[in-house]
Amino acid sequence: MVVLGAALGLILSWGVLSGDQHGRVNLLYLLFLYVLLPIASLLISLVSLLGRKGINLARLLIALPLWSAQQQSLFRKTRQLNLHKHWLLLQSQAAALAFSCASLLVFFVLLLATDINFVWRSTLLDATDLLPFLNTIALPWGFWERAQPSLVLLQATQDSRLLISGVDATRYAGWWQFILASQLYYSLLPRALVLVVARLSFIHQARQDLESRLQQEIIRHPITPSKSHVLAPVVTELPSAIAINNWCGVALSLLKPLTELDLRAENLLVAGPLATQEQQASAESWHGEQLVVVKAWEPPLGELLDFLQHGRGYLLPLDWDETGLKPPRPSHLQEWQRFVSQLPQWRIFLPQQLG
Amino acid sequence: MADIFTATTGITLEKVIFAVVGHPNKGKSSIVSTLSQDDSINISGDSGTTKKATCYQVKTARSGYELVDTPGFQRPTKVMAWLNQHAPTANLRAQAVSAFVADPQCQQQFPDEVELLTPLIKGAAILYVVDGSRPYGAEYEAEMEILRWTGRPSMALINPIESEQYVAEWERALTQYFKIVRVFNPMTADFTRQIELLQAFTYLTPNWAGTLNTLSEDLQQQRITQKANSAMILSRLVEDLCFHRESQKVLNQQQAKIIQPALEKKYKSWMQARENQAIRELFANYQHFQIKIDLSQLDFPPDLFDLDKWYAWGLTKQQLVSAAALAGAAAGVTLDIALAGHSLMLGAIGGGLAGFGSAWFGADRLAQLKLHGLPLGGYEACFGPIKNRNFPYVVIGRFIHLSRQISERNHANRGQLSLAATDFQQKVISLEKSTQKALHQACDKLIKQQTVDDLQTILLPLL
Repeated sequence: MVVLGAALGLILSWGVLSGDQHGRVNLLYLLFLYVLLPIASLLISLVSLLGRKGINLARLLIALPLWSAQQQSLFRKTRQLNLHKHWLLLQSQAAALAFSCASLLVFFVLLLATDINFVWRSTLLDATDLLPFLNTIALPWGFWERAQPSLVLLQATQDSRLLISGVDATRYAGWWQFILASQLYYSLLPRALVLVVARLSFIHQARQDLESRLQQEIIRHPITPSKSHVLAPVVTELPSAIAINNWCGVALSLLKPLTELDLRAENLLVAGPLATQEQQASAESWHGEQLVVVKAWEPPLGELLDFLQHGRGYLLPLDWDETGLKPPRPSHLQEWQRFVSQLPQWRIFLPQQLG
Repeated sequence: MADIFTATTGITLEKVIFAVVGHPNKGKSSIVSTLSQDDSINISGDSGTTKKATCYQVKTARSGYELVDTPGFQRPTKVMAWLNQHAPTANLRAQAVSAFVADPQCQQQFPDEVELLTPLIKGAAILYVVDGSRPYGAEYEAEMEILRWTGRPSMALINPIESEQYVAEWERALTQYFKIVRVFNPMTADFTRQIELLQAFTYLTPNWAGTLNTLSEDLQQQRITQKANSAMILSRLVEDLCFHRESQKVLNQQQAKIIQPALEKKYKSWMQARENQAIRELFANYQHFQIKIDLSQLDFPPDLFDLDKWYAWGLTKQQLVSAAALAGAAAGVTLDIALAGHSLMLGAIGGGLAGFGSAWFGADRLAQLKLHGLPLGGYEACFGPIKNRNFPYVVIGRFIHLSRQISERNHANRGQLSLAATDFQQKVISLEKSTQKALHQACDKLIKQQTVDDLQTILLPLL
């Protein structure tokens, strides 16, 4: 598209600016090429963006059997993203900008290398009719004195094909700044501006697309790695003289199968949420080793941690149901192992029949 | 706490905050994750992972609420003892709880309880969570009593983590402390159940009804939008897969044969990567970000190119033949109309027969290598697109099955997906005849590399 626009700019500008055999170029043709045409095409471009219905030029263009497989894939993507109109606008502005740049290039080259004689001809209009129109065109560059049209210049450059003048060639060159300003203000600058806006709009629209938003969300939420923990070892044997602390309030009958435990009343302690104040005080004042029986499925709480800080011994995480004791679930056991790994004076005890 | 906010519609709604409290490791974070549809919330089997109360804002188009994930009770017996000392009568209990939270010594000694009680004294409602798969224990009474002292509207949720064995036992205990008791499994509770849970609070706090009702409507609308988004992801996926081809310039036929395996490999890996991308987007559409996706690990046809499994995911051979005949006949009808009936319906009959034949004889055909001459000399070797009529149905079948699984998956569930081919063919049959016809015509166009304008709309009823 850019190449096409540039080629068109080169050819048209060269054609118009070359003039006739005397180098005479009709000013009105130039105004058509550098003012009216850019304004009209710009309006068409902007209007094509408005309204969803009607002929979609982008779709018509894409449907032409001109494109390679790669280009067709690109078009399909823009259609999926509902960006084909924006894409066409972007492309057309790039092409129009290339057209303007090529026209300017030709203009400079011809100004440098040849004598362009700007004239105007009209059967119906005279200089006084044309001046207000040219003044209106020149409004945007009011500060640029030498690029302003004047009645004197208009009268001096009015031409007829029947006359061969050329007495004062410099006078005929007097319009070049006006033409340059016309190109800059009605072709190059608006196109450059619309191209930037169209590009920003294209990027914005593309970012607003569902898939783009989802991709951004995926990046915003990286997968968090799982943590690893230090686990305390599990022992299966107990020292012979050890007190039993029934922290979880399990029925003693359930513990009978565990023959390693000395369940005589004088060997029992009770502490924890179910203990009376006296039982708690008695357990806290115990200085020997003890086996604290806890519910395997309940996580260790701060209350237990507070109690264990002042003693030493073993923890027995127990699991049971109506049928009796059963081995604790590995996840529950690991939770207790993790807990005990922070307490150097405590270990996990699990009888072999529950291992 | 300022209890009102103005919704985008200009309606003033009451600010709703729920604090999820309970023993450690009873599924509080799972419940927050499921209700807030946020799978970034850390759910861990390690107790005490939640150290600070964290507020999660659930925002919808017009409403919203806050969910506070709190640390579990650590020293409830000692806290209860402190409260008993500071509130001799019932009318002073709520004040005692506030005093407890404000007390610097308590903040040091009981940081977990201070964290979990702070949102409650600021106006949050209570969602108390217990494990229904384990027996009730008297040690829970201290924490339930503390919660009762706050005087806040409350609901107990029995989370059957492993089973429902002790749910009845828990219900008997919890009804003594909480006005509403519900069984709620954050891993399996469907969307309706989640809405019901929020709605239940309108009975406890009637001034929250406006917010919660608007929220329910918004969440339901959000589901509809998510479904439409899934249809868009699918429409783009199926179009991309049906159109894709890999090509490379070659000098002659021999060279084309040499590069064929590499071209085929490139083609297949692109197709698989594209499908993988769509699946990731599908997860993201339903706000699942923490699931590791490895298609080869799923109980899901691991290979998009495994022809043997195609009939499980696409259409059966009979269905496929009918679909092709229907699509062919529809195209023929267009010709008949163009000829104002002068073709004596031969267009429709001929089109139908052509579709039938291509579906029957081309059903086992996959992508093939083709060689095209180039204008400036040499050749272009192309692999793809797949011409098999069942291919779009396979892509659609796999995707909608996955979509259903993901849309029903709760955010607390971080396990791997387990999927199996089931009822895509049934789903197609159950569609209205006009929708079926549109689907078959769309698939017929796609396999001919023609774009379908309203593909998303055609696919929506399947999801």
